[in-house]
Amino acid sequence: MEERLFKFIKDAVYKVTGKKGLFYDTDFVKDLALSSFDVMNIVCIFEDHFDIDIPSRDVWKLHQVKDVIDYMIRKGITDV
Amino acid sequence: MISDPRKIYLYVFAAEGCTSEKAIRLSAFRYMKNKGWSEAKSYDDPLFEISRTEKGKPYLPRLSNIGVSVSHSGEFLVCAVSEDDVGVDVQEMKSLPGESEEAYGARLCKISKRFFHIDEARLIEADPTRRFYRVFTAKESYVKYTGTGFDGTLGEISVLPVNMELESCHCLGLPSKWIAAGVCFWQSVFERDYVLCLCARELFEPVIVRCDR
Repeated sequence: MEERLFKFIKDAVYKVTGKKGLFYDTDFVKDLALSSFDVMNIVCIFEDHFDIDIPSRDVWKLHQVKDVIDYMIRKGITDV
Repeated sequence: MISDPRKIYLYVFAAEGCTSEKAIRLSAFRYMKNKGWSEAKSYDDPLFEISRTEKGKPYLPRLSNIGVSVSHSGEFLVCAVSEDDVGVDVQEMKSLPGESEEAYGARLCKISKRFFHIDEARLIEADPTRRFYRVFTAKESYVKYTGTGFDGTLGEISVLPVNMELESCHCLGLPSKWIAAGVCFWQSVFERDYVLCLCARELFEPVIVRCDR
């Protein structure tokens, strides 16, 4: 499940930014230099695909790829 | 040379080969030279050391009399320097690869409904591919000015003009200078495909310095 989520995150980041080279501990801002606009686009991709709401206060706390994976699992996402 | 203290200087760099840190240092160096306040020989003088607040807002600890802000999008990196707090944002207006015009507009509407104030989302809905970036850069420059960064309160604050009826905004779009949320905004289309926005305490006309040519 983690691997499938990881791939989904990689694909979403690539679709929005064209950037590759993600790892589990990749920081979205420090390593990938994602802008807030990039983040908003990626959040919308997640919410559309998984039919969930990610509160804005949670969005800006998810700094690394593994944070997103853990968050989605806690949200009860069982399939990608 | 003595300059109007209300002037904000906006330095424009080619993004390739330039980092935010370098742009801030170069901009502060040129600003201080222009003001006649510094005899530093180079931008890498310790005088231009950069620190950041907990929320990531850059500042120059040895130059407490000036404020800086930086933004990067596409081919450009811009840095604003002022004798007061300032926020700047630049955003390239472009769709995602392979995205239809309809999908592009729908995506921008969705983002604005999801993250922005309801009045802003309504304004954007009428002409998303142009109005979204005007609102977005205003919000981004605002959070950079305040130093609060993006957080869960982004949708609670509207950057629409307080002295314009919303219907006027709908008909005319946003003006190039306006007051909202207790601060002032200056905005312009830049190099055809970019929107540039500044946020500061007082209304102003920035001095744009092209360092990319």
